[in-house]
This record gives sequence, C-alpha cells and structure tokens, in this order.
Amino acid sequence: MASIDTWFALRIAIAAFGAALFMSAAISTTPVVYPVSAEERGVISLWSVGLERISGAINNLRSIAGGTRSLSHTSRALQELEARRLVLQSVIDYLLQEAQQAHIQLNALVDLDPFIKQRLANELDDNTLWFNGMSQNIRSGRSADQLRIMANDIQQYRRNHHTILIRQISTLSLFQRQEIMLATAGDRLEKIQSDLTSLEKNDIDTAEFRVLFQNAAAHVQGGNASLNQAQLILKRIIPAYDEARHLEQINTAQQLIHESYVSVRAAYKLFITMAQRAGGV
Amino acid sequence: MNEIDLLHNLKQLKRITPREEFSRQLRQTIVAPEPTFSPLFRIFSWPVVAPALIAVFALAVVFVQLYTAHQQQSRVLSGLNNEDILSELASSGDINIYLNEIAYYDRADQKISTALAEASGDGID
Repeated sequence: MASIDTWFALRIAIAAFGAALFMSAAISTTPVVYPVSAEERGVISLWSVGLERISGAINNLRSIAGGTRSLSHTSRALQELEARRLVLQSVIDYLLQEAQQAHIQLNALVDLDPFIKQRLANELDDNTLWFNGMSQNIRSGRSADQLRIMANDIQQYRRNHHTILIRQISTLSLFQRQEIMLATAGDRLEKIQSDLTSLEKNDIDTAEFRVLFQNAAAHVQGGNASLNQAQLILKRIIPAYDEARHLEQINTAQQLIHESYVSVRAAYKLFITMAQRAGGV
Repeated sequence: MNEIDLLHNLKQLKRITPREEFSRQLRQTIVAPEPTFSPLFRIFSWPVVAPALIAVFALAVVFVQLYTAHQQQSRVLSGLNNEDILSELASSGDINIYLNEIAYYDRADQKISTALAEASGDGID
C-alpha cells in the first residue's frame, strides 16, 4: 500500500518537475542585464569619504605647520608629527580601499585570460601587503624624518606599482560593461529590423522609420568601432609587465570606451523616438 | 479403525482449543486498525485518478504554452516596445556611473600626490 502511494507521488513529482522546466525555458527570453553590485554602486561615496579624510588631514597639517607661536617648540613638533602621521594613514587607508575595490572588479571580469587575471590579482595582493606593512610603519614612526621618508616611499611605490594596475583593472571592467551594452543594442536593432519588415509586409509606409533606423545602426556601428579600437589597445598593454609607459594608452582606451558609450546612447535616443512614433501606427 | 475409535477421536477433536497466547495475538490482529494514509495519498492509489491528474496537469501546461506563444505572436512590434527600450537604456546608466568613477581617479590621484608631497615636505623642525 505504502509503496503504491510513494510510486504515484513520485510520478506526480516528476511530471510537475518536467512541466516546471518546460515553462521556465519558455519564460527565460528576457534580456540579460549585467548585475552591478551594491559595493560597486557605493564606490564613489566610499571614496569621497576617504578623500575627505585626506583633505582634512592635509588642512590639519598645514594649520599646525604655519600655526600658533604660543605653544612651545617641542609640543608643536609633536603636534606636527601626529598631523603628518594622520596624513599618511589616511592615504594608506584610501589606497587599501582602492585595492579592495579593484579586486571586486577583477573578479567580475569574465573574458579575461585566467593567467592574466591571476597575475593582476597577485599584484593587487602584493600591493595590499605592502600598504599594510607601511601602515604599521606609519603607526610606529617616531620622528618627522622617518615619516617624510615613508611619504616618499609611498609616492614612489604608488607610481611604480599601484596606479597603473588600478587603471588597467578599472578599464577592463568598463570595457566589459560597454561590450554588454553594445550587444544589447545590436539585439535591439535586429528586433526593430524585423518589426519594420513585418510592417512593410502589411503595406505600411516605413520610410520615416527607415531613416531613423539607419542613423541608429550607424551609431551602433560607430560604437562597435570605438570599442574594437579600445580592445586592441587593451590586448597590447594588459599582458605586458612594463607598466610605467602605459598610462597614456590606458587613458586613450578609456576615452574610446567613453565614445562607444556615447554612440550607443545616441542610438537609444533614436530607438525611443521610433518606439514613440510606432505607438501611433 | 472401527466406528467406536472414530467417534472417540471426533470427541477429542471437539475439545481442542487454541493456545491462550495464539488467541490473544489473533484477536489483536483482527481488532487493530488498518494502516492509514492521508486522504490525498489514498486518492493517488486509485487506479484511474493518478493518471487522470497527470493528464490534467500536462494539459494545463500545454495551454499555458499555447497562450504564451499566442501572446508573443500578437505583439507584432516587440522590437519597438518603448518600455523594453527604456529599461535597456536604464541599465546602461551603470556605465555612466562607472565613467564618473573613472573621472574620479584623476581627482583622487592629485589629492594623494598633494598629501604625500606635503607629508614629505619640511615642517618646523
């Protein structure tokens, strides 16, 4: 008796499962949207807090260095030492945050060669380690001279190892987003194309739409061209170890991605115009 | 075996009773309630109901499919659906945020350079 019950329940369950699969396959035609995590959205506010702290620390140091004469030399020197320490600490905190953020961006890259990805991750880890070590040194630094030397070291390390790395990763992340945006725009063009064809089959005049469509297609094409150029630059510079000379090229790549983005926006403005007019067809 | 023997044996057989233990067990088995299942499960065990339920379910699925297909077909201008286009455009807003972030790097870069230059500069001592 029990076994018969179980058998039928099982059959029902299998049937239900199959049906659910079938239906979900039918429903899953919605476009894929690149997810932007809360961390990524909150980046600017996070960073601006960090930068505010740096600004505050600089102002504090300035006011002490050029400040009141009423205090004794020793206590002013002591105050200045602490102010200097505060500036360095705020900078290091900021750089650590930047590295952490870059890690999130790096992990979200799907098309990057795994070896390159690993190398970039390792470099980020190295930088984080260096910054953490420096953070300890800053806390234990006993003289203004020691802190001055540390400030120089941080400046150099940042220029030689960190800035370019962060720029590379952020540009790759930007590239990936724009790539998805362009693909979506391309799909949209195809859908509109088939709409226009079906309108023409029903003897509806689409001449006006065709003009808008061609313009939009040209924008998307332009966006693709800019992005391809950016990709060429990125492919050339990302795998290389010699980073120092690449900042300018990274800037160029970013500029190209930006242009690609502007082109797609322009295409979308035309899509919207067409959709609004189609509402009256 | 003669007739008297037979009668004697029959009388003896008449006196046979079950052992106490056996009769108790038997009584319990008879009196015990039938194993029960929830009413829902019992329905499935009827030979006709289960296949019928499956068939009804399958039909429902097919209907939903047909209805969806019909809906899609009737939306001729799906490419020029304003809402879809707007939502795609909205999702590109993230790129805009990101471009702003990149512009932010320059500001941050300058600020940090200034901070480090000041921190490495001469003080009062």
